[in-house]
Amino acid sequence: MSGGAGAGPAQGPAAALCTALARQCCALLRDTYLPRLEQSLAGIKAADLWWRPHPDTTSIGNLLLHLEGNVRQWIVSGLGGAPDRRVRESEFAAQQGAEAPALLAALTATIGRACEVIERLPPARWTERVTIQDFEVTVLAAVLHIVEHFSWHTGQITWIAKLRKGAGHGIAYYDDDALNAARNAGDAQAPAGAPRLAP
Amino acid sequence: MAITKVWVEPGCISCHFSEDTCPAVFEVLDEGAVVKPGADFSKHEAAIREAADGCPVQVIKFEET
Repeated sequence: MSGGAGAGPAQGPAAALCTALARQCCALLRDTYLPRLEQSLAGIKAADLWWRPHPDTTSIGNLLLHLEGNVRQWIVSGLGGAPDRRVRESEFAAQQGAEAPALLAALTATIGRACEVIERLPPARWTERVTIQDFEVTVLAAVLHIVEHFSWHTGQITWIAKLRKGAGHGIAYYDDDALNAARNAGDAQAPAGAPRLAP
Repeated sequence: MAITKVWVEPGCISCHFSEDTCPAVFEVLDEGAVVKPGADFSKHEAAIREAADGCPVQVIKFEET
């Protein structure tokens, strides 16, 4: 982020904020969303991976292909300069394909490449305007887009996986007992009125 | 068993997995992944199999005799 109109390259707090933002976005993709997908898809059957409630919606497999394509197009190509040859409609047209480990491996590889691009963005680039998939956006908007887009579809995938695995699915991203214990411990120690963030 | 024929069926999403895995045999063009003309399959059999196994949409096919 620049320091304002007419300012030179970001320095000091602005540059530190860019670094922190890049790290946080990559941490969400790599260390939060991907592990959640891995947990929700552990042991899922191929039939459930490619199951669609009706032809006008998507399967988990489609969503995994779609996430991979989105991150590749917006970050690896859009910001990193790799050729963009994404075929978006094929991501949704597929009715069968690889099993979950292969789909997750492809997604993980693309996330790795994307994070290399994001973490190397110089501060001055965050306010630069770029055109990706026919949208003119800032680099900041492009990075935020892929993070929120990934979160959105991770939730959908999780819900479908719970549905298809049925009762006792075992998918849980938080340990409620541990959270409650931490809250109760905090209540005893925190000063009155201290703010607290819930996950 | 030797790989004698390699092709890409419709449905490629251009994720570049095949090209990354076996660049001697596959390349990604505007229409998706293709088999390079004249590619020597015999020198890259393991990589071709890996590309086929790992293709997210399973469109990499090969024939062996």
